Amino acid sequence: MSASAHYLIRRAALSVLTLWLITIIAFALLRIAPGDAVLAAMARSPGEMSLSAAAMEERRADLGLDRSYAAQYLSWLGGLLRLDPGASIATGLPIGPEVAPRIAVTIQLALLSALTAGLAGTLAGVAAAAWKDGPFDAAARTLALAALSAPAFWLGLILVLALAAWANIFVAAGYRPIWDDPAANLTRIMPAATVLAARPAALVFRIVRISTVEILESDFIRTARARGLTETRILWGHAFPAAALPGITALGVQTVFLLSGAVVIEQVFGLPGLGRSLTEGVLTRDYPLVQFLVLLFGFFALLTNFTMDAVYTRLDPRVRLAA
Amino acid sequence: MMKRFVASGATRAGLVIGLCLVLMLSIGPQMDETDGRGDLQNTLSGPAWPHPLGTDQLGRDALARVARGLRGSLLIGISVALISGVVGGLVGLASGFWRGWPDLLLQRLTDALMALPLLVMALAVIAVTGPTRAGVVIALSVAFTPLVMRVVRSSALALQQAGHVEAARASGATDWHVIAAHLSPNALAPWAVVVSTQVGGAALAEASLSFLGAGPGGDASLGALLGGEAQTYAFAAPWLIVWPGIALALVSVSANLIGDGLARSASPFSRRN
Amino acid sequence: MAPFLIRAAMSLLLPAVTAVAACAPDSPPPATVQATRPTQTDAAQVPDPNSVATAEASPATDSQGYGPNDESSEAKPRGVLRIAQARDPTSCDLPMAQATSYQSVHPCNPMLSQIVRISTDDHSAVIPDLALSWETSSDGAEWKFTLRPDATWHNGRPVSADDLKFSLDRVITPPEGLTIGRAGVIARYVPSTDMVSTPDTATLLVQTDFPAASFLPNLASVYVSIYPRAETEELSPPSMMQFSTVIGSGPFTPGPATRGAVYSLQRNPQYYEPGLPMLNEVRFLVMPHPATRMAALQTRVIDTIAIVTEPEAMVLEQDFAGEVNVYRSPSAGGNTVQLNLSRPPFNDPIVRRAVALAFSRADADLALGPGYDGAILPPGGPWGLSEEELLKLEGYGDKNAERDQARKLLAQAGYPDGMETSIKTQATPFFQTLAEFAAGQLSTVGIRAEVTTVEPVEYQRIIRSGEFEIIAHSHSFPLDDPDSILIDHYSCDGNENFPGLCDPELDRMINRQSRTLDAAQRKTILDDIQRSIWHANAKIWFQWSSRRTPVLSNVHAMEPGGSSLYQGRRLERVWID
Repeated sequence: MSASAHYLIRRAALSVLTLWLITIIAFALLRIAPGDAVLAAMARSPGEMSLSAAAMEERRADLGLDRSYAAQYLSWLGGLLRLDPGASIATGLPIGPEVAPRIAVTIQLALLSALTAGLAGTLAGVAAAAWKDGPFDAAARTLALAALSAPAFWLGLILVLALAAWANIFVAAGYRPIWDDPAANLTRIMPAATVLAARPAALVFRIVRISTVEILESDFIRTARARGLTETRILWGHAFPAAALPGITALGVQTVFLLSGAVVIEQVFGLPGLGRSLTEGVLTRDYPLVQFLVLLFGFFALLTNFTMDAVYTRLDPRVRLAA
Repeated sequence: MMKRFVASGATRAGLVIGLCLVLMLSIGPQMDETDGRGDLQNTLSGPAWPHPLGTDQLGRDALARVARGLRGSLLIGISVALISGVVGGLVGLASGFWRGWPDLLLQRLTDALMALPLLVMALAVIAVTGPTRAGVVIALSVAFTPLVMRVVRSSALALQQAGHVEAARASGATDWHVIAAHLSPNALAPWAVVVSTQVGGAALAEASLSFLGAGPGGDASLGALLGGEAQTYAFAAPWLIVWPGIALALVSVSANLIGDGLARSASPFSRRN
Repeated sequence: MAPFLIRAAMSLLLPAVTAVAACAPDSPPPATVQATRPTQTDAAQVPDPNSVATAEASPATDSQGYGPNDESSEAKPRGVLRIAQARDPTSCDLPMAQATSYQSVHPCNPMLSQIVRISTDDHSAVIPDLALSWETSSDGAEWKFTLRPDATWHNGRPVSADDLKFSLDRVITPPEGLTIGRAGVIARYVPSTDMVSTPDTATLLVQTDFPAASFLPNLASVYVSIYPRAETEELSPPSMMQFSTVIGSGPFTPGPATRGAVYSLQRNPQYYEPGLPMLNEVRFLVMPHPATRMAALQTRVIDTIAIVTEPEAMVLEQDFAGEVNVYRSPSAGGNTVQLNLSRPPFNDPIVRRAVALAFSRADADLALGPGYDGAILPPGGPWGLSEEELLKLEGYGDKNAERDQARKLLAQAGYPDGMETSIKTQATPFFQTLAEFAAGQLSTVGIRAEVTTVEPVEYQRIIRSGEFEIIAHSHSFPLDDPDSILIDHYSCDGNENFPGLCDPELDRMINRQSRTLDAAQRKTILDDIQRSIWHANAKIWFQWSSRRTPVLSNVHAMEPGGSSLYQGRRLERVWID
């Protein structure tokens, strides 16, 4: 077995260990919070829903919340191993069918943002490096700083309001799945993806820019220049490929952020994704739903990290030393 | 290093913005002549003297509230950066220096914590602590510490292989001496970069928490202003969400610029940010 | 559309301008949106809540066989109505606790029918639905409902009396795993399923425990919707009734739905009211953010929102006059502070009186948007106190004099220099504004109240365990009915009696009005009850809210027909031109 394969297997085993740790955290997170699903259901519609003390006790027993934490955890874990995450407390529906269509929304949102961020960040970064200290560079750097600094939900809100007021366009309703109506789907998701992409795009831009600047000043480019290559050729043929890798790395690191940012952006743009389910679940103390979603988010994050590791190991076997 | 830090125009801009914000902190609350109770005859009025940023639904001066919110956001940002910086820094240093099974365990825990969406974790912690400023600080510190830990640990790891550390080792220096004299000073720069940008990061995260309904209330932070009732008046009184948003962005701009300045002056790590 | 941009731009530019021109303070404030109180006479004449609705609808259409709207010559009975709300419906099992919220009631109601129902045009009127007629025994404790012959479930099966008994039975004894919600009040009148019987498929007999004046209105509440026996029993017990699985007998059937995004209702051609519904489709769009709901209305992506805030209503009225109508109606609910009677300082009635006197209703209108004057039962309905009676209550007098009196009362109670206390409320925007407003009002009489916001779930715990001195809280009643309000809120063991008010004499009076069939006599008892509760100063109503419902001007018959947010939302007569 090759060393890199061995390394990857070890990484995979560690990821499983991490996933198990996440199940514990996911289980504990909401249980340590005061109140429970029964009180939370009333908190969700204050002044509307009200139960007597006896009715609350009865409901707790119905939901199995009167069992010990250990029993609840083990029965949940057992369910997971049988691929049955249980039923949502709020809706009484099995969690699988509830979550499945939402995965597509959030993944699509995250991928579109990553793509937008990668593309915009890299192109702008290389261009800014080529015209270092010029007006484009200055403008792009300022914009990147602004994008890094403004809260995403606020940007989204201002975008929705300004578009509605100025162009009479409304961009935050009527999600359609992509297999239903691709055009409608994209027009709904792209505005959200763009807002979500602002921060990662700025980070990619900064890293690509500084890498390109360094490469353009390196001996290897000087040699290329001496050989009489055109500036365009040097920029896109030599500097760009070398600078793209750190950009992709930065993007990979931002993936977890994208998933986290989706929680807020889905709320503003009304997209029926995992993030909204999660927020709603936390507010209603919907234990089974939140546990499963936290696990799912954790799984996506680990999967991304693992894939990136695998790619690097292929590209550069020395990486394993640093890990 | 200090010279290089202050010399950059961008850094100076960051410092100036920071100073302006601090100035606003002290002047802003003076605009309020009603002791925070508001003037009910003058609710939701647009920006006009004597209320340059307008008034809110209870007729309270928006500038005074932005200033108080700014104070809260800065407090949260700085506290989170310091707590996660100190805890993450010490644990990361130790973990990177001694390695062994505690390091392995800590790494898995860090993996697990970093794999969780920050906001979800903070939402849950706030459910425990209650939606107060202190609660938000605890929640965000828990969420931010793993990142600092990871950065410091990896610089401690890298430094161990550096020539001067190996030389000190060879000449019989104790662990403590190596940590104090060689690792800490060199890990300080990347640590400072991460911690300084976390001031802005924490202020932004706090706003997201407030937006999701889990932040402190009133004018306890800029997020509280953005995530509060002002959202339901966004069309009628845009000034109530525009200004706190801009103030928040400025906090983050200032923290980012200062962080960049630190990064540039601490050269070998210039790319880490 | 432009005014928003102008306001936004001004909010950005003006600080710079005013900073420079600070010495010219008498320039008019630009873009001022100021809440104005409806004139006293507006509030005084509230008793007719349906000013718009009743003016248009002729009483004849109210009984049965709704003809199309009186403007039927212009009505084009097709189209899609789009409604935005913040959240998904949790369940369509409306009698059960999980479906209590209006976000569940509104999307589900158009698919369902009831035995009798609350009139859309007048929430104090009970009109026929599945039962075409009904009669009561001479003692008022036996009810005979005669069913209409033509009603069918969405799957084509005829509706029989047995389905009605099944639905009432599960309200009286909820199935395993489900918890009864607001429909639970029925069990107070009909405690056993044996009291419901079906001599034939077209007749339903119900015995009540006592002659109950509130039985019929509560039976007509949307929360006592009717479900088919066979199909409902097939649902596996823990799974609640989802939107898409509803089989009802209402004017619409469930259409395509995407959780978190849209719920569509399709016209039911077999609906028993001839010519109805007028619409082809109703679409409920889920938009969590209030500002995006407003933006959607302005761009005509949606036709209506159930509730907007006062400032947004004013923007719509000013900037979109002619395009959007905003209907304002009293809402069966409002804003309170509630004092904990079980411990000092508010176990002292003198201190409570001082607190109550501190609140100015005019101030509340300025801060929270114009509301309505009322006492303990909703103003504008059949049971609220008349304006004349209201003005006799403490708290409706001259505010300055009352506040002076409050300070004297405090001194008398041993707090000559005022006192310190705390107001707890849940950490959500509107409740927090309520609490801050309340703190401001208390400060006028020397009570320094610190506002503490509590995480919403924790808040539910503390209000039930009495771990507070004052809470600022808002209520929304299902129905303008004395029983459904008084028992929960003011009887010794009421679910929502958070202050812990317990007065055996009051409980006896509540019981008595419940059994008084003569409306005038009942009103007399209720007036006494209201005065008694008012002067106990436990749950202090400082404002009855106004509900503001914006509707695009080409949508007709959407006017709220009364004070309840929950009743009369079947949408069968709504039409679009």
